[in-house]
Amino acid sequence: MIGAPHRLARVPLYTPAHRTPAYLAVNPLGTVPTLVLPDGETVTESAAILLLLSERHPEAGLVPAPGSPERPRFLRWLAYLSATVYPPTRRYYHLADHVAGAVAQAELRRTTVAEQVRLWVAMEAAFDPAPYLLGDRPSALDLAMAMIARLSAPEAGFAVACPKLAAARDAIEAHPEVAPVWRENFPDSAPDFAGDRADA
Amino acid sequence: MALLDLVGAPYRIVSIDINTPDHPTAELLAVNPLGQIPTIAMPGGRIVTESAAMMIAIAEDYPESGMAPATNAPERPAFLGWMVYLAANVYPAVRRYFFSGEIAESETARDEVRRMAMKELQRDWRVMEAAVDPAPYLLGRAPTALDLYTAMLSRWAVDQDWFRESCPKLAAARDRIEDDPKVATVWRENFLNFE
Repeated sequence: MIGAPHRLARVPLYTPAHRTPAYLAVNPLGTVPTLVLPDGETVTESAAILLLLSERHPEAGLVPAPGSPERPRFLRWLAYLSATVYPPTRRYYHLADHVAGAVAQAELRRTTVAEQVRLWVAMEAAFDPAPYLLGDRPSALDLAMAMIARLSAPEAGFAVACPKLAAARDAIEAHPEVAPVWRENFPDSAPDFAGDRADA
Repeated sequence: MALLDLVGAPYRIVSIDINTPDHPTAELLAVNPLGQIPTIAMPGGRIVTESAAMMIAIAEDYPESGMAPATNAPERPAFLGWMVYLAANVYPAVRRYFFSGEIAESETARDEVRRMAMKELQRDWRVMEAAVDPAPYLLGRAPTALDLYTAMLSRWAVDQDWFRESCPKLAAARDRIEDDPKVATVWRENFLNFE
């Protein structure tokens, strides 16, 4: 969306091989994604990458500028997504990292889904998308929200619990620069999106 | 609070007692429906939650304080990267450690959640320790909000002897920022393990 030239290096996920020495040398935590800047410096953490790329390309208008009236609200919800919503989103796929045994894991799955629902509903109440979260222009917040929503547990029923957020998600996912990336990365996600894919 | 003191911003504190049955109060829920603390009301009534967002927003409102490197500064990528790293990795592990009962019911499961959370927290600190090179502050010669956020989070949950032994570079940077009298005053009020 910002028009920056880039080269994509894919990291196979969900295999032990994804934490290869070569990848860990770039990002010791082994998390994905990692951005390598033109000067060789690396940046991890999706929210930091979104902020940094958007700041370096202010002409794209994807983040409210530092000091602008909309900035605190933007930062608040970006941090909310990455520090509050994303942890239980991730936990759902890694239950065994937290407790052993089928009973305890089933319980953790239940509390994790309940937490996801509670957090999404709280965000739903705070927004009136028109059609994007911050108004008539897309922002990095739409991208972060749509991505985490795609990863949320199917049982959490995001689209039903949060119709306003789901509409904003649909709007950003229909963006011509976003749709191809989403189709490639979320091919097996919710049925409504599979419909888009069939049309493509 | 320490950041507000450092940038010289006027503020008024509303203390929240999380150990009363009234928590979260209607007053808190009116500004933050999730009842999270801290919550800040900035000039113009703008409400910000999430510590990392609050610190970045405050620091950017006072650019002359240097507490947030400017968007075109060479320290900017590291500043944003570590602020989000702490918020999205370290903080959730601290939270799981203290509030294991929110996600696990049985005593056994809670113990395990706590144990795994501590393991993850120590790994997160070690990864950061290996990557930083304080001189003497985390991003160079001047303190930033990152020093404060790191010092604050490192005062929670982890054994302080473990932190000093396993993360000597982070501990040294922490000593520097905690030497500031404004920071020390806030820390003495909030951390039993400080001094």
